[in-house]
Amino acid sequence: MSADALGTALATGAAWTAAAVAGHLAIFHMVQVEHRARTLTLLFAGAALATSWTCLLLDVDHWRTLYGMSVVACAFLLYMPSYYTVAASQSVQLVIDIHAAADGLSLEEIRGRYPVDEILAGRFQTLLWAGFVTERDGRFALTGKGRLTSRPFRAVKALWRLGPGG
Amino acid sequence: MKGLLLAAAGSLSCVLAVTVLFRAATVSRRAAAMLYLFLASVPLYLAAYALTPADLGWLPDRLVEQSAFVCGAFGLFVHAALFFGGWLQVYNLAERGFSLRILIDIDEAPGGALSADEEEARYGGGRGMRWMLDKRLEGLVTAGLATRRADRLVATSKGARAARLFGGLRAFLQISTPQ
Repeated sequence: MSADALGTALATGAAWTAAAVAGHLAIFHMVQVEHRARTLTLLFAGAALATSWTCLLLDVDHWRTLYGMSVVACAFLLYMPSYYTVAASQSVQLVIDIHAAADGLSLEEIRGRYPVDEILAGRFQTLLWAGFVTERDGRFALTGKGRLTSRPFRAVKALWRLGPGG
Repeated sequence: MKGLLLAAAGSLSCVLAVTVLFRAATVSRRAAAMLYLFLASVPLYLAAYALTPADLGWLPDRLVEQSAFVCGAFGLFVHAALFFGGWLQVYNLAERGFSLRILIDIDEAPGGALSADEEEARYGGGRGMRWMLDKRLEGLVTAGLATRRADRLVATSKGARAARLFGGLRAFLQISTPQ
């Protein structure tokens, strides 16, 4: 086994991860992306495949190739939450709005900007669109995908005694 | 392989310690407690890496790395990624996830279905949707991103920096609506 095989595989994974991040920034900057999560996932999946292909070309063995691919997987684990903090965090949106107002915002102004019924309606639309819930006669029920998401987290909440949260 | 195996063992030990802590004690700052447990696991990982043989006593030669430093650093990266991108995110989602809370509320509702009005009242264990907004505002104040001044919330300098950074990123990435 070459002493450099591991280093080569890890560097390859890191390089393709950087390419995936650059691709994300470039695509999202140039195009209004509708399926953002799917696009990001595909970019990182592409980076993992490219790592595998590059390692094959560089004659890196299967195990080290897997290590290179796990660099991409770990970077994906770290990148997605960071991206979602930017893209979807309500706290981030609040601080942006408070900063944008010259004299800040009163609680009433904030509640006026964020009517809870509209926030909830918007989130239900997102959950419908993403296939987590179905709607019938104004009532929402979980799909299989929704249950598959809900159940493990219910178990975690019970195991860690987290309370309702939200 | 040694680095990966020790990272996996370290990660499992870390989540086991988190589970024991959360079940045995009432922890007010859970995310910070998790972070401390992870930080405590890092020297343990390094000690385990330094004190065990390169083949862990049973790995075949083809899985033994020539460069102990690269292998050890890779394992540490995996351990950190599993914590920050894995366990800590599981906790954040379970504790603060808005969509997830809605899904769980529906799942726990009698008949397994809820209207929007029912969810608005049931949200957060019956505290309602308004509580969700108040909780996030309180979080901004606690994190030093905003401060109260004459009944108004005003961004602190830290909050202004965060707003500029995240606002700039959102504009650059053309993110106008949350998904």
